[in-house]
Amino acid sequence: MTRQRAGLIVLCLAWFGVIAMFAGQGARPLWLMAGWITTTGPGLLAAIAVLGSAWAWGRPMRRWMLPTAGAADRIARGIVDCTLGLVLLQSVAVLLGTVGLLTVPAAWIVVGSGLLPLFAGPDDRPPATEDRGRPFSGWWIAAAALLAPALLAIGGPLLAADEGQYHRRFVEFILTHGSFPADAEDAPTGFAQGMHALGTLGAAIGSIGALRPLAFLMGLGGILMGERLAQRLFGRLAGGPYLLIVCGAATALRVVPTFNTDLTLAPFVGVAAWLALDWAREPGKPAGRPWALALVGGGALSIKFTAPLFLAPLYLVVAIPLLLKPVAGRGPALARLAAAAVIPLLFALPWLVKNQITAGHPLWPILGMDAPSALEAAFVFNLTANYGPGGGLEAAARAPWDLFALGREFDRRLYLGRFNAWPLVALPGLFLALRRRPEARTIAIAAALGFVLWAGPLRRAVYLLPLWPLLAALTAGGIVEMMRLIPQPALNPASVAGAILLGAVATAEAAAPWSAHADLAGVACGEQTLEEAAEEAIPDARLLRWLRENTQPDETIAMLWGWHAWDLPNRLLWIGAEDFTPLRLRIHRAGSAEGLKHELVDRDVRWIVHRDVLFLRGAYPMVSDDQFKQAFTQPLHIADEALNRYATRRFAHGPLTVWELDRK
Amino acid sequence: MGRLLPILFAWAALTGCVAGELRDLTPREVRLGLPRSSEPRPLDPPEEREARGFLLGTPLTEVGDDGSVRLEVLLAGSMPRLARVRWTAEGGVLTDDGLTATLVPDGPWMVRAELLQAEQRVLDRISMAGEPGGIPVTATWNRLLVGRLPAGGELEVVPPLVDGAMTPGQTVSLRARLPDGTTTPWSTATAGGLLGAGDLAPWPAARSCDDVAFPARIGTGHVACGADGGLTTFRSRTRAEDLALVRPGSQPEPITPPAGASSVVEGPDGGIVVAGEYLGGWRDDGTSFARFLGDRAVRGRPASDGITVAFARADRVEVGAWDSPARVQLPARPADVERPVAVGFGWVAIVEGRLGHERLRLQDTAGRRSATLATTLRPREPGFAGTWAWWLTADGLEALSLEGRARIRSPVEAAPGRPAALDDWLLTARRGSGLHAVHLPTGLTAELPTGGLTQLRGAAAGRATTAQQPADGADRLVGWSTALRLFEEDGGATSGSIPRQRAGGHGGSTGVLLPEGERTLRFDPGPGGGTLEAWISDLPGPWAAIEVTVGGPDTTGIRATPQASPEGPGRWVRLTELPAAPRTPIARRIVDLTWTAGPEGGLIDAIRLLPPQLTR
Repeated sequence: MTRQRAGLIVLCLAWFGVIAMFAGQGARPLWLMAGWITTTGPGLLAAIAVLGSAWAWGRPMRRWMLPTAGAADRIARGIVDCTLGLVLLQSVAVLLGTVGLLTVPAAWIVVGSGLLPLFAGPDDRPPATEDRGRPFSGWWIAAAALLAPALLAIGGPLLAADEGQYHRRFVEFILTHGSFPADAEDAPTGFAQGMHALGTLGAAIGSIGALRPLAFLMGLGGILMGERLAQRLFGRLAGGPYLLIVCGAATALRVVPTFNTDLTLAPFVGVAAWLALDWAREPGKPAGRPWALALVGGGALSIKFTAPLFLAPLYLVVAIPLLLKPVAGRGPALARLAAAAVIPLLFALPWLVKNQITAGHPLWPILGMDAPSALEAAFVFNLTANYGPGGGLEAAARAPWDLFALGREFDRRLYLGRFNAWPLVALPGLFLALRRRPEARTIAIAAALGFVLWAGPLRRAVYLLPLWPLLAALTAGGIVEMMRLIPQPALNPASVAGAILLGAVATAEAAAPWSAHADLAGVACGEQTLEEAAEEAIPDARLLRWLRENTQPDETIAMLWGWHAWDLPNRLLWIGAEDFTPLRLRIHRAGSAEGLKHELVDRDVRWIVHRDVLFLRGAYPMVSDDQFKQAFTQPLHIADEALNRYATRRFAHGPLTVWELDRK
Repeated sequence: MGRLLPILFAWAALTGCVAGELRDLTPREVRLGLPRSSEPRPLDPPEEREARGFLLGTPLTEVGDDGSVRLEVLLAGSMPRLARVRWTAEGGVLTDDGLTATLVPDGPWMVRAELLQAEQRVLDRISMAGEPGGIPVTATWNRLLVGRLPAGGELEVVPPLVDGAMTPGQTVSLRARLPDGTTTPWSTATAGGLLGAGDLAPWPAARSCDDVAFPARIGTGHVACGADGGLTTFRSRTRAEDLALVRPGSQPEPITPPAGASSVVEGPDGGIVVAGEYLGGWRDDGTSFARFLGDRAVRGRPASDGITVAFARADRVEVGAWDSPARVQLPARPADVERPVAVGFGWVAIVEGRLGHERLRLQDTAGRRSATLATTLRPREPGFAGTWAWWLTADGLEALSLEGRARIRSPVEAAPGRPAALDDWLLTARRGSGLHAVHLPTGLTAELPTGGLTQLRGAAAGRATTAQQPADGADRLVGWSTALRLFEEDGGATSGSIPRQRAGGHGGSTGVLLPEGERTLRFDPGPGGGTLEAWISDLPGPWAAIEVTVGGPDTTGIRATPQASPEGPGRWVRLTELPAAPRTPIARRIVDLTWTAGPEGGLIDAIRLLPPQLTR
């Protein structure tokens, strides 16, 4: 694009904006648009700034390590640049946070140091042979339509799963203290730090409103990388169906605008797959790929400890041909691969070491809870309760059916989300495609391994999101392959019908999240405050507002069976979800109402938030009746008795109550 | 991209600034094409006017264990400049300290309090007399009733009740055994009896709603969870929209409050729900209404005395008839607590101040008189029962009579939840276990064991509901009923044999009280006549028969029985119309009242006369 054309476009846009605002005064959509620019726009700009800085840092890194990577694909190259740059920014931010220096000025310096050379830097001219594809086909417009409401949701309050209880508070803690939380009574302490450090960079130069846009753009990067992979593996025809498949999934659409650590891993997995493909072509000539893989793996591991479940299979599919075929340079290549597999641990060290120091185990609170030996089964992460259909071989084997076909019921009853059924439909076509495309086998094996690993311990749709673009790319390949079976005379009508079917299914899948995102239009466009939006979104909002207005920020709040905290500035103890394992363990150790009171007094608690909860006996088949009584029923009773005897109820809203501890 | 980014940022900044300025200059309603709404101007903080007199007609008294009498006066406003309260006493030694004084009596005594300005001008004067050993009466409790008797007297139920309960069809009478051994048919008994221990009616689940306040007793029924009115509904995921009103002997009535509403208080024909923006109610015929209150959120739960509803906002308390759009706006700064306001019988109690520094203010609903109770620290859960105002503090239960005279402080560690009045008894759950009952007219206390953690979920019409959590059992609801229920509103002083009509009474606006010592109600309906009504309790099964004969020297007796009411029991039921009296001297009419027990207990409830203007 020439400067003249860019200037003309900007002028036109500005002119249309002015016309829209003045001529259409009172017309709702135009005011919403104006409101979106001023409300959500700044956060989006801050996120763009972070990614721009990452791109600026990542470009020279890629040129240095991977001079030929993505030579024919400008988009994939850009995503690789951004991802490598994100790893760098993230690592710097984590290191700064580890030494307590991740402050607002530091964030400005980190981000700005990338932006400044970007303004003056030379353009990355594409080679003459570049395949630009058809970026604005109907498929893209359909996918954009599916994703459009997410532009509203990125301006919404951070109240999605885990955002309100952990993610936002984590970032706010960093912004306030310049370091990561180290309070063994507060669950965010155990979280990986990478995504939150990245989010802090955005929030520091913008506001907390930059978190969702940043995650959204990273998720889009993952989706886009999947599209490039689909085209690379199965040809240009696979790109279109891929877009509708990947965007036509309810869980993906729900999660993409939220500040999460799942879909934001997708670009890392996608780039790793891209690199693995490159490497698999010439196994004996790794060049800089091992180091790039190590960086990508480290970045992902720094975001989420389950990243190896999806990245390890990619390392494996690179290793397999090296192990099976006697190629030149095999030894050094394997050595570098091993190094690439180990180096990511270095990125996670700050977080693992901190957990070890703070809570006594690197993977706390997943491990190292120190439960009584007779009750260990009752104080572990419970697959049956957390992940609906439960763990075990049978449940894992049923996972594809549950995930792709069980439908809305699965989503609503168990809150696990779902994807569309296309992977099951396209499976035969995928097998056909793999016969003809050896390159695709590499990714298919890695994706299958990743899926199996997910189906064991994770089994929650949202946890599969890092792999979803790869799965969708393979699915698109399978569909394209099946289309090839159709005789030529019927191919065109069948293609049109197939496209319509894909679109219809995607629309149906997207309806619920689309509607949920559209509900956030008010707040995204500045016509509703975040508090008002929160009040509509969560039953806890009135209680949280009460706490904000009536407690001092330096007072400690104990959350008994509570999982929403949103923007509370207070120190919070025992916030949790699902099984509340740390809290149950704490109460079990306290042993009685008096004991719990002493625990609360010792921790200088003044306020207690209590939620009426009930643990269902049938959800815990792995524990005996006596274990259930000791680990689930009794803690509830002890908590109730402690409040009844030693606290005064000050506020109630629905099942939530606020109590003031009597410290006399 | 390198060149595009600066352009993008510049364009975004430019349009952002322009758009932001324009939006800020444009009212929200214009932007969204909504009708303009006018928010009421925030009310100034309540002005503490200088008192021109005392709030109540007599000093408030508390009798100490050592026989000393602690007296307190409440000013209807702030202390005027150059003013003080001057205490004088006869019959004892008085030490005073501003608004309070302590008297050590040595015989019959009289205390006078004067609000004196500039040591010369008496703005107001109140007084009170009493005798050593108790003010105002001696009370006796026979575990069913409290009676006012001469010292040493006993209250008896004849024949004695088996297990503290009556059997169907049983007729009982009360008699007082005086210290000299003589008996008299019925001395003064209090309104209502205490909860019996043998009348438990457990339901399996206590916590079955999304709101910790439900299920709850509202009037004679329960607000239960689930459209079917079941009290055993699984407690999670039940929303306010799923509430139902359950009354004995009738089908559950689904309640359709405004979306998001969760607070329910009693109204005369159903319940009232106050949501953030809507006031809603429903009637027994299934109709409901919702009225827009404004965008500003209501603070805490609303309050009602059955006729009036009050709710708090950040800058005011609004009081009005439950089905009327008109509301009095009382400037106030209600505390942001669960129940910041209570209303009853022309008075409003408001918990004011920021958290940790709350105070209680009593104010009449007309906004003319108010007083902040300086000696009450951190009050909560205020309420009214008859002419009594009560609230909880960290130290226990406090109550004062709005007619003056008594102030009660009953030490108790109260469990969460609101105390409830059961006629003359005030109940609150104890921390840990049990119910604590205070007899308001006398200050007598009684402890009722329950078993397990207990929350009181309301009491009315001789019934109370508790939610209990036994140490090793399932949560459950328990219904308690009084074994014997008699209504004679305490303090219903008579003038000769003519009872005094007064505001208040049992749920009505005009109560007529039984005179002392007789089963005959004699009253003068006045020239306007009116509707004679009886309160039928909610005891299940056939109603207790009530037979009323109205007659007099100049009229033929009218025999009336309760008319069938679609509202079922637990309601005011019309007995008969009393015609307007001729312009001749007022006829003396005599009402003879007899009663028999219902299947689960005996009752005689309040009788009231509604003047024509209050007749529905």
